Amino acid sequence: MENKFEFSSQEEQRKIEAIKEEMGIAFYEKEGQKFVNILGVELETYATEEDIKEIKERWVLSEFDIEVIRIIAECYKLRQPLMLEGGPGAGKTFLAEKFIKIIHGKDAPILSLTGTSKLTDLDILGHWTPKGSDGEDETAYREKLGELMKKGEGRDVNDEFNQKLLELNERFSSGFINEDDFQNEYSQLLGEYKDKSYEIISTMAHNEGFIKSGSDWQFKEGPLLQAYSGREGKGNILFVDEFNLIPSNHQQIFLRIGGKEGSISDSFDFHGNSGKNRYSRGKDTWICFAQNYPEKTGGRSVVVDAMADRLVWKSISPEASLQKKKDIILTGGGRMDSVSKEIASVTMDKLKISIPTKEQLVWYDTPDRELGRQITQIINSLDEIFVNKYHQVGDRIIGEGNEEIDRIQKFEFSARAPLRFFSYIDNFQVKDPETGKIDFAKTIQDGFKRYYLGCLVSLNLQKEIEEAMKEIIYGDIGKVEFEGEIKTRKEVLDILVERSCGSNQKENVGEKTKDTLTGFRSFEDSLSRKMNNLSDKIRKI
Amino acid sequence: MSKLNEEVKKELASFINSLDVVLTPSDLRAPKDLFFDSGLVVFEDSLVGVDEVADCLAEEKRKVFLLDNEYDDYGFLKALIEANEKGQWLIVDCKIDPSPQMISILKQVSDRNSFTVPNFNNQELFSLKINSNTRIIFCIESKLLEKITYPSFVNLFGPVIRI
Repeated sequence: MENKFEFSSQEEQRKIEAIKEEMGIAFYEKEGQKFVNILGVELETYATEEDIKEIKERWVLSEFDIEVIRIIAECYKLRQPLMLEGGPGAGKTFLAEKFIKIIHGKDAPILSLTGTSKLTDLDILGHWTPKGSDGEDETAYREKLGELMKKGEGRDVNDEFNQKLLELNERFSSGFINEDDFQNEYSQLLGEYKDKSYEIISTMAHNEGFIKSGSDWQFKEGPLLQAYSGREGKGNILFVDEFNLIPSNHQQIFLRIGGKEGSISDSFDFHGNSGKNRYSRGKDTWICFAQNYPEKTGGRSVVVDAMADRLVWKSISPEASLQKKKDIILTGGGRMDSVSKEIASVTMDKLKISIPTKEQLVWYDTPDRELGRQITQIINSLDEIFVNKYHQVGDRIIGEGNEEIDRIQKFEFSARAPLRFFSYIDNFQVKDPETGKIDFAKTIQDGFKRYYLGCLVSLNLQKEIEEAMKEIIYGDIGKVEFEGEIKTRKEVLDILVERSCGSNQKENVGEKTKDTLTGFRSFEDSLSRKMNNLSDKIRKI
Repeated sequence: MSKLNEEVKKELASFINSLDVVLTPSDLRAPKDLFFDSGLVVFEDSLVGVDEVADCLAEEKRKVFLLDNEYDDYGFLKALIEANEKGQWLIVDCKIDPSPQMISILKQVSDRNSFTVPNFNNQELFSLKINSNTRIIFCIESKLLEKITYPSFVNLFGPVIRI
């Protein structure tokens, strides 16, 4: 039976309507597996159809909600860690938790971490504890452990680790070392820190009588490690709330989540239980962060540049929340179901959100490579414009005193942003509804909003840069000479797409290459997991 | 003998009643998802304490827990679970700055009347849905309240009363 939510080239418009009828969130099953389609982003789900139905029935969707839930869905699909930043009541926690329920079921436990200024690496990563200890024993042990790590030897070890990490960050930020070197050195540093901590903790535990022999230890994995490999290796979605309440030295623990192409790392190296030192990323692993603006809510700090760079950043401006309030009022607080549906329907129609096509083109592997060249040139131009403008004028926000001030939260915009952009283009290409052909101009526009404009609070700055972007893609400023004629980038892209799709041989070559690359990546992941398992076994022997 | 005057007793009774009956959505986006709040009692007068609050409830309906050790997450959880099983109100006599784990639990309870914690009760993830008859009341001296490091501590609660 045809799946009404799965697109094919001829019926895409009808299917877009079908998604809209479902308020943008549609459940379906395919070959015995359950899926949810969130505005065209197809994701596996553990939830039932009844779960999804109930979640939607109790939710007054607004345009803003749909935009954010789509961003969450995209980042989850690409395993790119996401930061939702906004004022109190903006809906950050609500939307993140709703998403987790859509994926894991309405009654699923939600693994979360609430940032406070007292949060330490023990709370984030986990801690060594005497085997079998629980209850009052564990309380007494943790009390001693807490005192040890706050004063004396433990504090010295912490201070040394934090200082070295700070220096490592500075060397990376200033370009003395590259990403791979940073990750290697960080893993080493973390390992050394844990060895030293283990030594002093072990001495304390023996002296205080918590353990009798060297084998009486167990490591209780904290939320971050459970995110990677909890649920028997499948991993969890971890929601880290109030991230900027965590002291910056402990925020840095999360640096290790930065992986290839701006996604979550394949593993987290750590000295854990029974000698295990690698927590491989599970198929369901993902991390979503949330925080209030440090400029507007007291007690918050900034996220260090290196950490901010590892996250897709979505700033929720105060204006965006206003429409939500209006929708709530017009539905009588959700009492008027028919009005709720009407609003949702109007919202869907007004939406400019593009539904990705099933038939993605391998843009970097066309026979003449010209499409890839054009796209990378455009992205390079957009990146340059954005970064220059950002460094020139900076972002602004309405502060606590209701006056406009410079943002104290800053961003680096390293190569991660374009790398994420490329992943986006690999996965979320959209078609021009009139021509039925892939519209890379629109796809790039959407990606640019996601990875660059999304982190800005100032609507004026967003508009200004968006206008510059449109000029590059559609306007005179971006025109280039193409085969002897001056054309806009959009025109050139459309010509190249036409050529790429015109020849079946070319399309098949592209598809075959894509399949080969996909297969290679799967093989690489599988081999990596097998090597890790083998290492664990050897270690146990 | 109660140290409270009649007026304060009435206010406290009203506070308890509002905790008991008022349900609100934690987010206006889901107006049909109604949750009960936790309550906060702030002692301005050092002569007044948790006993005065506890006396407002029948003995079988309440459980008092002394929170005087920031590492005693286990004790707090255990008390909450026991109160939850019996549908009792947990009255926490808070003498310290709560730990991150306790803050996390209170936040989750505030958001959805349930919580999940890692590594408890020999479970990787332990979850508990709060009994609809159970409530949490935190009692704290105002001087200590000013020293609480979590800046949104008061926002974890619904009704707040100062006595």
